[in-house]
Amino acid sequence: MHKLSDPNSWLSQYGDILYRHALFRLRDPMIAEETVQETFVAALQARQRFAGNASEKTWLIGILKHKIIDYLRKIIRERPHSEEEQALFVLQNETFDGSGHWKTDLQQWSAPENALQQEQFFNVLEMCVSKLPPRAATLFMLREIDGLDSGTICKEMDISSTNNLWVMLSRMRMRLRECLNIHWFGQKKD
Amino acid sequence: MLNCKQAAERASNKLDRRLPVYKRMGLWLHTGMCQNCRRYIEQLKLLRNSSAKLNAHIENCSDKTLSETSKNKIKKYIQQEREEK
Repeated sequence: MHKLSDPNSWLSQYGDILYRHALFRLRDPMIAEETVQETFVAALQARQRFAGNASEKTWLIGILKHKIIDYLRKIIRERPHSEEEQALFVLQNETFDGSGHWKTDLQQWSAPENALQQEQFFNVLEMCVSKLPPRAATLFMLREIDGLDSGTICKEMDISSTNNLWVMLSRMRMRLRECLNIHWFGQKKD
Repeated sequence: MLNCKQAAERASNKLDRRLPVYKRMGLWLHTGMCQNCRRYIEQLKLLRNSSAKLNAHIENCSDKTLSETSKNKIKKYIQQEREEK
C-alpha cells in the first residue's frame, strides 16, 4: 500500500517531472505549466480518495495524463482531419512508386543497438516526434509510450474504426522511421 | 502477392494486433524475397524499443523546469487550499 506525502512537498518532488511530461505531450510551455497547475489542484481535491494501489508519482502522472488527453482531444477535434492526413499521405507517395515498390532502397542502420545507449539518440527521437502532426503525435504517445490498446485509443480520440487507427499508426511510424533515418543514421532522404 | 507498400503497412499492423494466419503468411512470403521490407521491419522494431524508453529520457531532461511564476502560483494554491480545510 502506498501513502501520500505532505502536499507541501509535492511541488519540489514532482513539479518538474510533471512539467516535462506535459511539455513533451503538449509542446507548448504555457499550456504545459497551466496543465501542471490544474493537476495539483485536482490532486489536492482528490487526495482523500487516493486508494494507495499506485505510487504517489504514478497517481499524479495519471491525473496529468487525463488533463492532457482532455486538452488534446479538444484541439484535435477542432483541427481538420484532411490537412494532417494530407501531410502523411504525401510521405507515402514519396516513398513508394505507382506500383507500390520502394522508390529507393532502404539502407541498413549501422549499430542500432548502440543508439539505445546514447542520450543524443533520444534527443533526436524526441525531435522527430515533435515534428509529427498533432494527431499523429498524440497517437504515438498513447500507443508507443502509454501502450494503450487500439480500442481504448479509438475511444479516447474519437476514431471511428480500428482500421483507420491502424492506417494512421502505420503512417506515423513511417514518418518517424524516415526522420531517424536522416537525422540519426545519417542517410540522405530515401 | 503483396507489394512493398502493403507489406510495410501490414508490418506496422503486426505491432498493433494479432494478424490472422493468412496475413502473416503473406507478409512472410513477401519479406522472404524483399530485403527492403526486411530492413523496414527491423527499423520498426528499433523504433518500438526506443519509444518505450523515451519516457525515462523525458523525465530526466533537467534543462526543462517549471517557471518560478508557475511554482509560486502552485505553492500559494496548495497553502490556501489547506488553510481552508
